[in-house]
Amino acid sequence: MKKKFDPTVLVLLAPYWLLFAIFILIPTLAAIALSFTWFNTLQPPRFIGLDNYVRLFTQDETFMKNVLPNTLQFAIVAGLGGYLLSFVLAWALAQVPRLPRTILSLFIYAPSLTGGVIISVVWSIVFSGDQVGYLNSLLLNAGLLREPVQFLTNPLFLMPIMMVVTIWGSMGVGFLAMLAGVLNVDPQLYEAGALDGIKNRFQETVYITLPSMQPQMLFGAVMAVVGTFQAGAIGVQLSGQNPTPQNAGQLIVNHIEDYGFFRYEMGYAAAVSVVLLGLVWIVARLAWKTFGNKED
Amino acid sequence: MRNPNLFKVVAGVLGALALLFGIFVLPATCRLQASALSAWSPPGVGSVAASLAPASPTEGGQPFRLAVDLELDANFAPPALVSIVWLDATGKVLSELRGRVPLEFVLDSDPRTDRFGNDLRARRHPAATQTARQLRLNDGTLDLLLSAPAGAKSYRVEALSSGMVVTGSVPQPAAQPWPRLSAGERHAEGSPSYLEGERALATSDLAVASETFRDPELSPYDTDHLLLNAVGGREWKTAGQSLTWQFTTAVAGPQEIWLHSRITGKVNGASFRLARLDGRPVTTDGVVRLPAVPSWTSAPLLDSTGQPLAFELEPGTHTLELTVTLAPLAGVLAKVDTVLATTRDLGLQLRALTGDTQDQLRDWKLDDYLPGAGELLVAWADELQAAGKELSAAVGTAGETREGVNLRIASDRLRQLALERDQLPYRRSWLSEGSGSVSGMLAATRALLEDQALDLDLITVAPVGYLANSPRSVNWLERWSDGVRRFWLSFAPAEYNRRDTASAALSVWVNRPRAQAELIQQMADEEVPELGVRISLIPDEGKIILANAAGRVPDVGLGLSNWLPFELALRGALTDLRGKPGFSKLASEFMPGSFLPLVLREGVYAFPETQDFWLTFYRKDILGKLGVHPPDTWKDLVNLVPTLRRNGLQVYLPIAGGAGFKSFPQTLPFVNQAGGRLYKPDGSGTDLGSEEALAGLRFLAEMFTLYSLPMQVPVFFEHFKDGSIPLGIGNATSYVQLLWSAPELNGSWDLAPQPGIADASGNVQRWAPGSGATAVIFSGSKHPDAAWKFLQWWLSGDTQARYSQRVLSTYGLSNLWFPANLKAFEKTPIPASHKAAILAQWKWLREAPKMPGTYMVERQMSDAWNKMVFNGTNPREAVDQAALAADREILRKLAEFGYAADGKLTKPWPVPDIDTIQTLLGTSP
Repeated sequence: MKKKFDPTVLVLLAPYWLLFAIFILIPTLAAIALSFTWFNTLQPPRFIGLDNYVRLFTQDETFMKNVLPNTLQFAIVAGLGGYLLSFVLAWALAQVPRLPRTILSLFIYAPSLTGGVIISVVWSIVFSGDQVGYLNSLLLNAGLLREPVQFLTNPLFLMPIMMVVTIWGSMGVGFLAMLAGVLNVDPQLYEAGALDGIKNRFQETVYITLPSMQPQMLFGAVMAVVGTFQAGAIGVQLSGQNPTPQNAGQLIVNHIEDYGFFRYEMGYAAAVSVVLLGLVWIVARLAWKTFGNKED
Repeated sequence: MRNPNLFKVVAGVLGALALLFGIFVLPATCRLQASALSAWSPPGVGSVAASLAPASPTEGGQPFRLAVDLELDANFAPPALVSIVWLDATGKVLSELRGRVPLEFVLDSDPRTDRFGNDLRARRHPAATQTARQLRLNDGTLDLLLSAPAGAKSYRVEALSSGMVVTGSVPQPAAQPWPRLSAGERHAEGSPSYLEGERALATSDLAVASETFRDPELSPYDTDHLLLNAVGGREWKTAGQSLTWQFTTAVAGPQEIWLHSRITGKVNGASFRLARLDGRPVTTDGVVRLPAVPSWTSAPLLDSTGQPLAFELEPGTHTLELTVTLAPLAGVLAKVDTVLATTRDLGLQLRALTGDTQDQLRDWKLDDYLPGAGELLVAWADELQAAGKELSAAVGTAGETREGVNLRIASDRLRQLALERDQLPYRRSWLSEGSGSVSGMLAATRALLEDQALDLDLITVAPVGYLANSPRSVNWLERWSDGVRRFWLSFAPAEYNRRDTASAALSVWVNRPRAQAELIQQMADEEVPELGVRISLIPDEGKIILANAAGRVPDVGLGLSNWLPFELALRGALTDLRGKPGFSKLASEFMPGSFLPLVLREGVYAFPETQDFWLTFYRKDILGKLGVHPPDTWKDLVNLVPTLRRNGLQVYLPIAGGAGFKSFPQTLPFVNQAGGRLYKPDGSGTDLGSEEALAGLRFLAEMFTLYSLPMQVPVFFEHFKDGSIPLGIGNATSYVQLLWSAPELNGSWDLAPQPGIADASGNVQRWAPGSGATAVIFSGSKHPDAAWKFLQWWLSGDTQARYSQRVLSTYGLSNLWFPANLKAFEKTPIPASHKAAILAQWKWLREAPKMPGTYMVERQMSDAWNKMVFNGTNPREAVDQAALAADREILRKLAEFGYAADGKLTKPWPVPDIDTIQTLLGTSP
């Protein structure tokens, strides 16, 4: 039997659709539209077809040589690393009693709340390139260095530092969801598992905990992916200005800012952001494929 | 500083501003010699002389005061310093003494308001002729009492400040203080007279100005408008600043003087004022103590025993003068200064002993290296303890003051260091380095002591016994309703933030602090009312781009960064100023090199407004001790490095400041000084690959790879203050920071043009940029002619000089304004030797010219330096890679504007450089 269409559905959906359109759909479509134009923010945009994309993939040396590899490297190490670490920490925290668990999880969650401020204030002092930078001072006093190291200016160190700092600050919502997931596993399952021959905690985790918290793992994965691809501020905040020295810490988001706000090439910047959108979508699909419920 | 005696003579110590002025060094030309002794010199000569005639008031060796007359010309900038030279019978100079002539600036009496109905500060005019001004010491001590040294037969008064002439001097007996009235003479009669603090008759200092306090207790007060209702703020605090009020009394009788005032920022402290009624000190030394009360209170002037002072006044007109004085604290300041200088010195000796790094694992026996250091530390601790006692006696309040606490902690710390002196080598941060060290605390104490702030609302001269209270007493309900009304008013858009572009007026957007925007509005209203200027604030210059995209543009933009006009002009948003009438005449008042980034093809799209500089800052005391001179070339600097490093000291280059990205001011000077240029003349790409440019960049890298200069110095002036980096290249910001934050160092550092590279014929090339803010006219302007008239007015030497003076006098030293207009800069009130150094460097001003894709050149230079320093890349390789990448971007950008196709230049893009800019500006000599 065919269900009769009820117009009140439209009314009830309207607020959602309105907000979605204003804040997500229209800006995204506008960005896609702009990516086919030449637009310098002062004069009206001019349609140039696929030129921006052709240029991006054939002529933009920085993008191909630095930005894309940096972004992938950063996403894999910081994204995947942060993701795995979230799970390990969540699992470990689930083993301690309630009060210390609450306090510790707050500590671990706090860096992701303060974010940018902490990055520019605390970490720039830790890695400062004079003798009073914490790390330099420590190494100098221990006799391991004779001259302070330029952690934030030397391209060799910038990317690893960006990764460390990002992982440190990545225990955010994904981590909390996983903590909830681990705690939510039905204890009866563990008892049943023990009867069925599970010998150690590792087997318990792999066969019971992980499968039981599939939705939280998916959520965490999507958050981690989106988070790392969108991270761009960190390299610039640590090294001080866009572009980073020798493009060592240049991520896609920095590249977009560079073209949009320094070179006044909004059309090109829009094309790069469309590519970023595509990248995020592909990786998010991968996450769905891995953790998604087949029935969904 | 030419004459360090000043500091020996002057017992007290000056505040930041007074010190800046105090070390004013004058061109030799204004120190004219007396034409004849024993006779008045004709007007127009810089000094007058007089004999000590037998019948003069000086007979019998009595100390006397000296009143001098001055003529000021238009170029005069305060303070007025004079020197009294004692001569013997043969005309030989016996000794010399310096003093300060308190000037009189008469305040406008008619009230003025701005377009929002808010009060404007009264304008102050220095009278061209200043007669019978009593000489004072710089600490504001009542009179400069002179005693002729033995054998003196005559004296001479010389003008030390430029722009003023001493026209006469009259010795006078010392002023008689008012007698103490005994209790029996006190009886009340008549009605009080009220003197509004902000309505002073005259002031000795342009910095002292009326203020608006949002407090309904003050008079006058209005919730909706900003009315001036008190004097002081944070400005009436430096020794020597005086204010004079006038009042009349109708009935004869003893009168008391009540002040409705407050003192903020002091705990248990007091401010000191010298009070003179009709020119006579109110007590024997004239000093009144005003205990610090942070809320507004009324209190009478008290004598040293705590009794209210009373004065028998005749009916008629009287004057009351209050001058900031440090006389009661002179002893304390002298002790603090001694210990401050000696601890810093010991810190440097420790540096020389231990080197740059502090090895905690090494054991020292300090007595073997610096014998007697322990006793010294104890002696200094005793000195500070004595200073603390003296301070609490002078302040006279029960609790401990902040200054007192600082002195106690510093003294305790010195004692502890004396006990554990073997640890001193790695406790420099306790002794002399950083704000928590003994030196740091003493410097802070000194600043606190010198701050004699007082906010004064109302003076009441009332018959003795008359209950002098604030005429407005405010209860909590009134205060609360005022708060509610102000809360609602806060939802209206703030004045000057209403950006209207549609009105008929000339709209000017200013990217500067609100206070400065107000000042520009005031000056425009006063001086060019016919243009109908409307100033609006833009908090962020990015707004200009957005406003342009939205088609809402103002007529004029001020205070834009110097890279922005080119970007705007390239996209058609600005008007070419080169064709405007009188362009070349105006442009000739600026350094041609400062226009380089403002040129697009054949057009000039902006004028420089302010200008920066990159100069050598050096500590005279430290370099003097090491027996070295500030470097003239980079070679000299590099040769100094071993000497400095041996003593644990370092050199600072701007490239070590800031972030990983190295901008043009940090890299370009070396390219230009080595004879290189940024672009090929036809604009087809950069010229970084030339041998000259390569040599410059290589040298810049070698400073760090071979000579190991510090690569990261986050705050240069802090290291400069504590002496660990006594030599460095700083800019205007460092200059203001030093003047403002380290008044105790004044006179022990100096400026020199920055080092350069000698060319083949031996001339030292010192090219350096000096970016400042710029002024533009938008192409969407509805009143282009009025806009240009406004710019002509605003950028003229006179307007800029007046503005510079007013910013400084209204908002203090931290707002020091460096106008790009040279005529205006010459009148900027900074020490002449500093001015000379800045002007010498500005002769070498050469900004980076811009063309499409310039940002890529800047980035590639930064990366090339980075590669040479960190990757050890061969300089030729690094620079060639940089040139290649920059060329590609330039050609790509030129193609966008139709000057290139398929990676080749199709027609030349004209790039200006230092040798062609004058032809373009039409100012070639």
